[in-house]
Parts: sequence; structure tokens; C-alpha cells
Amino acid sequence: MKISKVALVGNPNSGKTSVFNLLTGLNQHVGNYPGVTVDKKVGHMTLATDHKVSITDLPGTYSIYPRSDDEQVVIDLLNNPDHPDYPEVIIVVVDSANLEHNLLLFTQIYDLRIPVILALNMSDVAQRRGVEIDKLKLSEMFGGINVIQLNSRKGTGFDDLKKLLLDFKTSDSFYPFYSENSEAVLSNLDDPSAQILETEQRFKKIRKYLNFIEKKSYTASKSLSRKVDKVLIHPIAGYIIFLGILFSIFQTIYSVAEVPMELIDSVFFSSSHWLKEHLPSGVLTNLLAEGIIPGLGGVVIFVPQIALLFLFIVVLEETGYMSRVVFIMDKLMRPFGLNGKSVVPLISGVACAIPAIMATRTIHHWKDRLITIMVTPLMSCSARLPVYTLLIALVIPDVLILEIFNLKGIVLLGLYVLGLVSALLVAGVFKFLLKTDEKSYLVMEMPGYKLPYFKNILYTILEKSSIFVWQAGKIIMAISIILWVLASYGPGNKMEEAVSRVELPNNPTDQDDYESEVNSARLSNSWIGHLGHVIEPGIAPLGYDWKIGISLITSFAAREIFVGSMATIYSVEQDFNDGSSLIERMRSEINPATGLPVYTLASGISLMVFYVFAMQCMSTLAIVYRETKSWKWPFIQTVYMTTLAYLSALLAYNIFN
Amino acid sequence: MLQTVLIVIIFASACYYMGRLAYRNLTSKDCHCGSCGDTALREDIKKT
Repeated sequence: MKISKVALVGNPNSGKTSVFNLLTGLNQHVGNYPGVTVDKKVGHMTLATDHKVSITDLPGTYSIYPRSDDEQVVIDLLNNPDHPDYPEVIIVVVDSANLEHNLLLFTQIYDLRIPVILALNMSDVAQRRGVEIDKLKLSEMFGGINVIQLNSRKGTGFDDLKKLLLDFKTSDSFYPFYSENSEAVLSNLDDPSAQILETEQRFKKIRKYLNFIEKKSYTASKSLSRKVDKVLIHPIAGYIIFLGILFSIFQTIYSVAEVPMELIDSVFFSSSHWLKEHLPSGVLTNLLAEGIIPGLGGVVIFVPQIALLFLFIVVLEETGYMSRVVFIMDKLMRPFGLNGKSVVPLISGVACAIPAIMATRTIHHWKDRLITIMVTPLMSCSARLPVYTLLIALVIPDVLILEIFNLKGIVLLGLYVLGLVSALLVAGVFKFLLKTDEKSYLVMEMPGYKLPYFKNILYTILEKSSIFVWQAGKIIMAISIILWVLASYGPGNKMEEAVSRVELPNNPTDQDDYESEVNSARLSNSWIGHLGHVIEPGIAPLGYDWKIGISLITSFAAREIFVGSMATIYSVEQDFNDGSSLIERMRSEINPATGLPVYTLASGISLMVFYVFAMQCMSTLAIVYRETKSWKWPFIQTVYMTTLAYLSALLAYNIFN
Repeated sequence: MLQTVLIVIIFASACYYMGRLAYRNLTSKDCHCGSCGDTALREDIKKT
């Protein structure tokens, strides 16, 4: 049988994604299933020179009886042979160390009569925990199905799996778990009580069968795992350790990323300079050297920090620690009206609010889900990192606390904690306003601790960094062009008139100052200068000047655009012989009205606080609209977040001023 | 003169790109930002 379509099915935490990554490498893409907002991951694998197989990675599920959109997708696809992705073979990935729970899904899939391969994954973990599985007996119990052992961390067993797929043979038709109940339940998926009864019957049988196929012995590894858990999920020590880990992450982000960031900065600056010197002078060269290159450089410079942030996130996930974080955070979040299931979306929000809001689909109660959607964007996402980094470098002194801890890293951690605390408090307010008293419980499987898998870490960092560069890069390039044009041209002769008002220097040594004043006068009277001066009165109470105002507007498309916009605006104004960096230029910026620096501790903190709370993300609004199916909630979210941002920034400015 | 024309074209293209992105994000039921890596979806849009 020559197969061309394979589906991967498995419980969450069964290592299914690692298997998918190892089978497809980078030949994969993510899409959506039609009609529902569930990710569809498809990849390709070459079995022989003329034999390619498409692999669909279906959402992780514990059972084929659906409880959420994700789980519904699995049964909709497997129950419909006319579906374009209907597989010829299903690889059911199970966690060998937790066979009892995982076999439930396998028996259900097997009873759908689609040819299957049972992949016993995480065999190393099972071995460490003293679990021995008799592959042969397991195969015989299901009419001689293909059973294969995999270790996705070491990459073993995959060649055998490919051989099986290349020369696939179906097993005998023998269905020991199929009963009249199963048929009745499958024909009516809207009867939960019948599903529970049928599931219990399956579990009873599975336990009986496991006596023959599985041997368990108590091991040191299991004992160690329990001992570690006693500390990591301790009601007090658990939180202290979590805070300590976050603290170390932000300290490391600051200290490790510094060297590559300086390198990237110098590369972009030299490129700009080189282009200006070697290309024929003219507006196109100016656009490239003053607009596009500095704008892009303002974003690429943050790739080391973004990569480090995702490195830590993926390591925490891979080791199994993130599940412990979810567990301890559940207790913390309950008093604020957040559902236990809200923990995963909120923690995912540290990476990006968009997939985090999509992850709320697992929350059954609508009001609980809505509250989670409304507060998730308050969690500091990775797009805020460039903004925080720039502002911290600008206004926070480079000092060590207790001669070890970098103050900048502490402030960065403080901003993330502020986001989390505000999310909890706002959730409490929404709980009161929406009058929700629905009770729900977080039921989750605590995966065993394991060493992170290097390839998974690498894939995630590459994927996230490239999305950051390419997706944000395209928008930043467009905005840099728009900003450069608006900053280089002005209405009528106003720019020329402003330049003529600048006094010529008496002394040749003052030539640099003169050129700087000319550039400032031109920028201030450009289209963007006029627009900036219109909005300036609204933001002046927060300590911002018109250039910050323009960047606030452009960064509504995405927060990280703030940095690119500032880089473009300051580049247009800069004397090109001046080799100072963006931070140095911003630091020397003087407010003409007061004669004082624009970027002080007060205005810097005010701006950071503004970005903690402001809904500066067009894409998040689009996702909230899609998930709530109404413009009412994105509107409410924008209004409350912007009001909160403005008032908090005003308060911060007045406290620190 | 040629450079000015080119600048106008580039500026108009950038404005069109941002306008289209905003319009798609605000009117479509699907996400077009690409932050979640939905490349397949965007390929489907191109095809249709």
C-alpha cells in the first residue's frame, strides 16, 4: 500500500510535536482549519526518491469526544473520509511512561477502522521510571498492529517508522474495545453521560490489558521527580523559585545580549554610512540611508534579546517546569476570578497575545473565556521587549545592586510583574462587572521532568526570530518609508522659511551646531512635524514630545514599531557626520519649550508604564474580534487599556518628576 | 524628476500596503498579521 497522507494524533505532552518536527524538519507550515480558528500544521517527509508523504499534525487531545474546538477538529476530520486531509494512516503518538491514559485515545482511534501505527514515544523516560512495555503482546492484542518505539529526544526509532510507512501493511480486523455502546456514542456526540460511561468501560479494559503488557518498578528517577516537585510546587517556595527564575532570565537577557546587539548596531550604522558615501546623492539614497536602513536596524538589533527570551520559554516548557508554573499560578489566579484554564493563555501571553487569545478556546464557560481574552494583552509580550529595552537603556542608570544585580534587569522584571498584577486586578473588576460565579477546575497532567531537546529549542528560536524579523520587518519598512517622506517634505515653503530663520554661524567651528539646527527646523516644519505638534498638547502632560507622539501612533500597528519609528525620525534629523547611536541622540534631545532633556527618569518611566497597559497592537484587536465575533469587546478593550495607560503614565510622570 | 516620481511610487506602495493590512485585519474573520505564522492561510488567500 503506497501511502501519501498521514495524520499524527496524540495526547497533549505525548511528544507529538517533537515527532512531527523530526519527521518533517523545516518542511512545515501552519494554517487554519476552515470555519474554525484552530491551527493546522502540515509538513512533508520524503520516504523514497519518488515517494513523498504529507503529514498533518492534529491538535493534541485526550479523547475523540470533543470538549473544545481543537478536539472537535480531530473527530470532524477522522469521521469524514471525504475531508481533503483524511489520512490513509494515523500515527498515534503515546507517552510510554503514561500508557494507561494515552491508550484511551488510541483505542478510540483504532475503533474508527483507519489503519494505525502505535508509536511508543518517550521510551527513555519510561525506562527511567521503570516502565517496561511488551511490544509484541501489545501488537497482538490489536490484531497485529504496527507498534514502534520512539525516542524523539535522541531521534531513535524514526528510521524504522519510515520503513513501516514505506511498506505499510494493514493488520487483522480485531477490535477488542469496540462495543455497542461505542457505536451509539459515536453516532451521537452530544450525549456526555453516554460518553462518560463508554470511557469508563474502556479504562476498565485498558487496566486489565495493561497487567499483561506493562511491568512497573519503582525507580530512583520517579522518586527524584517527586522530591523536586515537593519544592517547585510548594505553596511558598514554589513562588519564590519562580520569581527567582524570572529574575535570572531578565538579568541574563541584559548581560548576554549586549555584545551581539552592539555588533548589529554597528553593522547597520556602517551600512547606512557606506550607502550614503557610495551611492549617487539624491532623495532615493536619503530614503535608503536615513529611512529604511535605520528603521530596520532598530528592529533587528533586538533579535538577540527575542531569541534569548524564547530560548528560556522553550527550555522551561521542554523540561516540564512550565506545567508546574501553571499549577502554582492557578492558585494565585483563582481569587481574581480567573479560571484555572486561563493560566495557560496568560503565560503564553508573555510570548505573544495572539496565540494566547486563541488558546482561550479551551475555556468552556463563555464569561470566563471573555475575561481571559480581555486581560491577556496586559501580559508583557515579546513585542514590548524592544520598547522596554530602549527606554531602560535611555533612562535607567547602569548600576549594580548588591554588586551583582543589574538595575536595568530589575526594572525589566518589574515591568513584566506590573503587567501580570494588572491583568489579575482587571480580571477581578471584570468578574464583578460581568457577575460571573461559574466554578471550574483546572485538570492537568503533570509531565515528568526531562532534559530539553536541542532540535526543538533550535526550531522554536529560529521560527520565532524569523517571524519577528520578517513580519515586523515588512511593516516597519513600510512605516519607515511613510515616515521618511513625511519627515523630508513639508507643506508649502514652510521648511525653507524655517531654515532661513536659523542664524548663520559666525565661527566655522559652530558649523556642526548650525547644521543640527537646520535639520531640526526642517523636521519640525515637515508634514510629520505639523502632525506631531497637533497631538503634542494631548501627550505633553505625560512628559512626551511630538516625536514620541508620532511613534505612539505608528506603533499602534505593532508595539515594536515604536523603536523603528524613533530611529527613522532621529535619523532624518541627524547630521550624517555625527556617529552617535539612537540612544545617544535621544539622550541629547532637548525640549525647546523647557530647555530641559526630553528623556528624563520621569518621562522614560511614564513611557514604559504607558506601553505596559496600552493596546498598541492592531493584530490583537483583530484576533479579539474574531474570537468574540463582535466589535463591542475589542472596542471596550481598547478604551479601557488606553485610559489605564494614559492615567498610569500621567501618575508615573508626576511621581518621578 | 525621475527620483521624485520613484519616491511617490514607493510612498504610495507603502501607504497601500499599510492600508490593505489594516483593512484586512479589521474586516476579515481571519488573522493576517502573520505573527502566528499562518503562512498557509496567506497562501490560500493568494490562490483565491
